[in-house]
Order: sequence, then C-alpha cells, then structure tokens
Amino acid sequence: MNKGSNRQEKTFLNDIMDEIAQEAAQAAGELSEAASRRLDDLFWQFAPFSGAGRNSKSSQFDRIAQTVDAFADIDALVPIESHKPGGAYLKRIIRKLTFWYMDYLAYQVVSFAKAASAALMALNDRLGLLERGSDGYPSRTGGSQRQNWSAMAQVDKTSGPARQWLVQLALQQLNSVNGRVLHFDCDQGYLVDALINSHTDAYGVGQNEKSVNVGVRNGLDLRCEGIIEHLSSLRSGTLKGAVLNDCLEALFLNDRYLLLDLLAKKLSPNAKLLLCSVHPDAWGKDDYIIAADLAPAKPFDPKTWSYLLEKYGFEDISVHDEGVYNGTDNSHITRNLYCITASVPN
Amino acid sequence: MLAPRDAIGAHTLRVRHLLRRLGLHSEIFVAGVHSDLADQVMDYRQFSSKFSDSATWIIYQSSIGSRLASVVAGLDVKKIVNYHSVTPAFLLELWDPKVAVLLAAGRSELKRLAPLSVAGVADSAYNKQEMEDVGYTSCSVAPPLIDMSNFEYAPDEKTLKELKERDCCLWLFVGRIVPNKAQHDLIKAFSVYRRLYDPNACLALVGGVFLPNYQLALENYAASLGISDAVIFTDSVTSSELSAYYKSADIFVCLSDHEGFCVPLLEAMYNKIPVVAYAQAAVGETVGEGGLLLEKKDPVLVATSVHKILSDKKLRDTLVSSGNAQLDKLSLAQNELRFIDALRHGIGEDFK
Repeated sequence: MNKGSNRQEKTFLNDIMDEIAQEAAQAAGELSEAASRRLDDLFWQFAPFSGAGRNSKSSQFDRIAQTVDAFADIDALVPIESHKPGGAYLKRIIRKLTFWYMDYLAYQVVSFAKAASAALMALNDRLGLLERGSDGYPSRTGGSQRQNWSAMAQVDKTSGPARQWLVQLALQQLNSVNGRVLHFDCDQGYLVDALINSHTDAYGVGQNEKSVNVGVRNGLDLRCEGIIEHLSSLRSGTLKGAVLNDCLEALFLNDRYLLLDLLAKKLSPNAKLLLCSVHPDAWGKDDYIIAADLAPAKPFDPKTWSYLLEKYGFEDISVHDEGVYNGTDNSHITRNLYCITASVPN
Repeated sequence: MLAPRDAIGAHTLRVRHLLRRLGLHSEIFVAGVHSDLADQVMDYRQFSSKFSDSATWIIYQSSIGSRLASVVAGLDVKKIVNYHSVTPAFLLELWDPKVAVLLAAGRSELKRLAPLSVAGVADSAYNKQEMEDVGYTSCSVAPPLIDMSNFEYAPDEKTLKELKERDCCLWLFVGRIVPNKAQHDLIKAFSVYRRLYDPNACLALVGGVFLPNYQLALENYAASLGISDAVIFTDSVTSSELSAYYKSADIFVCLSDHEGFCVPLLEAMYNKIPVVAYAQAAVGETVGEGGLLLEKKDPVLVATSVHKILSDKKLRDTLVSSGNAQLDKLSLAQNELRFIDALRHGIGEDFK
C-alpha cells in the first residue's frame, strides 16, 4: 500500500469515526445512561462477593478478607515428587520423620492466620454496620444511598388542599406547553392524570415504589427513580416542562445546584419550570416536623431559588404562595408552600 | 508451562528455531510442558549441569508467576528477560484470589529480575513501559514471533454447518474466558446491538474456561438479558473448529481491559474479518491501522460501530485491506528481524 492511499484511508476512517460518534449519540437516546448502568449492575450481581459493586471500598475490603481467608490454611504435607531415582522414597521418609514437628508448627501458624482472618471479617462487619448507619451522609457517587435517604424524607408535604392548589397552578402554567412534561414526585400520578386530561403529554417519576405501581396499574407512565438519577439519564433539551415538588428540601445543598444544572440542560427552549417547596417559615410546624428533622438542609426562601434560577439562565421568574389562611383574621396568612415558576429563554 | 497452541509457547519455540538458524546452540528449559512437546524441551534442573559458562545467555520468558523466576535469578549467567505482560491482579482478584496472587507474583518477579538482567525485550511498547517502570534500563520492542501460516486450517465441516444453520450476523471474540478480556462487556454491547440494530445477531465466545466463576456469571448474565440462545460459549476448540468460527464470523470485536499483545486480532485480520477493538493496553499497537479502534467501550458506541461496518461495504473492504497491511507489518520475517535487533541491542558485541 503506498503512502497516498494510506493517507486517504486514514481520512476516510476519521470521517467514519465522526459519523459513528454522531450516530451513537443519536442512538444513545434509545438506551439511557441509567439503563446502561443497570446492565452493568445486572452482570455484577452474578459476581462472587456481589452486592457492593466491584469498585466500592467495601467490596475491596471483602476481597482482601476473602484472600486472607483463602491463604489461612497451610499444608503440613510436603510434596515428595522427585526426578532423582529414590528421591521420592527418601523425601517420604524425611516427611514421616518430621511430620510431628511440621504439624505442630502448621497448627500454630494456621491458628494465628484463622484468628487474623476472623478479626478482619469482624472488622468488615462492623464497618458495614457503620456504613449502613450513615446512609444520610452526602455522597456524590452513592446514588442509592441518596435515594434511600430521600425516600425516608419523603413526608407527604403536598396533600389535600395543597395538592389541589399545585394541580391548578400547574394546569394554568402548562396549558400552552406542547411536548413532554415531567412531574416529580408523582406519587400515584395525580398531576400526571390531570395534565393528560388537559391534553398535555405528561409522565411521572417518584421514589415510592408502591405508589408508582398503583399509578402504573392505572395506565399512567410513571417510573420509580430519584430525581437526579432520572434527569441525568435524559438527553439534553428533552423536556418541555417540569414540575418538582416534595424533593427540593430532601436534597443536599450541592445536589440542589446539580438539580438546577441538570434542569437548565434537559429543558428545551421556552420550557416551563415549576419548583414547589416548603416555605422556611413553615419548617418548624407540626405538619413538617418529621421532614424538617430528616432533611439535610433547611428549605430555601423563595428569594434564594429566584436568585439561583436567574444565575442558571432561567427567566420570567415569579413566586406563587399557597396562601393558607389560619383562622378568620386575614392578617394571619400562613405560608406553608410556595411555587416558583420560570421559563427557559428561547 | 510450555504449550503448543499458546502464543508464548509458540513464540518460545520460534525463538529457539531462529537462534539455531543463526548458528547458535539453543535449548528450551521448562518447569512444565504439554505432552506433545515433551521430547523437544529439557527440565530446568538440567540447566546448570549443561550450560554455565560465560558464553551462555538465558532468555527468560516472563508472564505469570513461576518458580523458574527464582531459579533464573540465582543462576550466574547473563540474562535477558522477554516480557509477555502480566495481567494486573486487580482484574482477577474478585473472581479468584489465588490466581491474582500468582499474577502479583509475576509482577514482583519481573521487578526482581530487573537488576539481574542485562536487557529486556517486550512484546509491545506498552509492555516495554511496564518493564521500564520496574527498573529495566535497556529495553527493546519485538512483537512475538508468530507464524501466520499456522492460522490456515481446514475448517471443521460440522461447526461450519451449525453456524450456517443459525443464519445470523455473527460477532466473534477468541480468547480464554477471563475477566481481563471483558467478555461481560462484549455481551453487554452485543445485547444493545440486538436491541438497536439486529435482533437475530449471534455472539461466539471462543476460548477455554479459565475461571469457572466468571464463566457462570457470563452464562447467568446472558440468560438474564434473554439472549442465552444467541451467545455461544465454545470452551476449548480444535484448530479446525476455530477456523470454522473465523470463516463464519462477520465481525471480530475485542473489548479487553488488558492484553499484552492479543494474537487473535491478527488471526481475524488473516481471515479477512473486520476488527473493532477497544484501544486499551497493547491492543492499539496490535491493531494499528488494521481495524477500528475505539477510545471508550460504551455499549452504544460499540454497537453503532459494528452496525456501521456491517452496513457499509466500502468501510468493510477498507478495514480488511488495512488489516492485511497490518499483518505484513507484523509478519514473522519482520518480527524475527526486530527480535534479532533487540538481542543485538541487549547482548552487544557478543552477539554475532
């Protein structure tokens, strides 16, 4: 092959690689990152010492402990093969003569190794307990940990009248949206159902598997996932609208920034965003006490969300208070929930 | 263990053949040998009594940990280490801690021999770097001596017929069933390919079972993906059965996490099968421009690459022809010259 044709082939292959990268990017929509991760998880559950995942610290510890255990046994019976004539016979005699001594030594060495191995295993168990006890610890990689914690903090904050208020507001804000709308936390699909009835293409994501399954059985498109995990798996510009409630307070501070970053990427131009949160004023009240105690950080004041949304490029930002009247005196308005609406610039 | 169909075994036999052709007295000393080769080699314990003068050189074939390394280290003879790569232990320790210990031993033996050796010869630049990292100061690259005419076998008729009856696009990978060859990633990418492009495609994983745990996990994985019928596990095959797989394959896909050289890539090129490979460890050097090299093994990227090759005749023809060119670059004659140069570089004046 001459140099000229070699160069042509290289250019051709470079072009092909570009085409493949483009086609793969398109095809990636068919298989989300989350689905790809699930394929990995599916395989690793068949691995020995499965469960913790191959790269986690605990699985490394498991492996070390298993290796120590595997090598804790030593064999006092020395091999006696020999290539020299009579060698095997001689070795057998020596082995027989020294076996009592070797066995005595081997017993003590094995006892020590087994004790060390048992100590390592016990330490591993104690570490496991400690790790399980600190599930709420912020982790950038521990998706499942965050999800578990979040599910625990999912105290039903938007129920009854608050739910009606949110549904009305969402229907009003999203009536002109033409495209896919996400609702999180969807519960059994109350908002998804209402949006579909008003001819909006909506689907829901929630963390309570039982509730999600009820909605699925009713024919709604609901999935059981964490919000960060779900948004991460979407292609950019996929969503025309998003309504998020019952999740903002359950996120760590860094995850709130991550959430905004993901929303800015996954919402398409002109898309509508509704962030529904507990008002900090309501945080100490009886209705929210469990959520407040379990939350990793206090809820943001509406001004903070407005400020951040602006920083992340959203516009038309406005705050809607739930406006629940406590008693007959109009001056005692309790501000339990608020909803920030915003849109993505064209 | 010297075995006839093992790449390092074949290389060792070829080295002796080359040295004898050059008029040198060369013998192979082993700690273990396949019965087919028993009459062609000597037991390592015979070495000291036969060769211990100042004109003797040892070319130690280094891979997995072996008691021979300690024996060689203790011999007062000039040494060259011919390094064929050791799989990093962490890739296997999850599956078999004992094998991982042997691999770790192989690496420490390589390091131990560094100050005791005059020079190193590595299969690839990747392996050369590993040698230099553990202290070898004079290293050369000489790919393994492979006689590609040995790739030519009459295909087994029964296997050919079975594969033809499947009437499917056939993905092929040849290599022992071990985690560093990442057959699990192949199954993953293959399942994505079936979902995106061709629900009838088949995958043949040709190779002996080395770690039963891993094999079982692969079988369970394929079953849980619902593609058990489409994934063929052959275990060890004869040369003619192997030939039948090469003759029937549409594409050769290699997603290994670690390969010191990977001869099956050349076998695929020899059989005019387009190659898609993950450019990790020494794979990039072996494939060269003879196949499509991927920088990451994202399953969608792998599936799309395979689809592109199988649906674009010009691309397929280009890859086959560049595969031929790569075979010329790594031909036995070329690699013998490289090996002689490497020895000359290591031995210096004494090598005539």
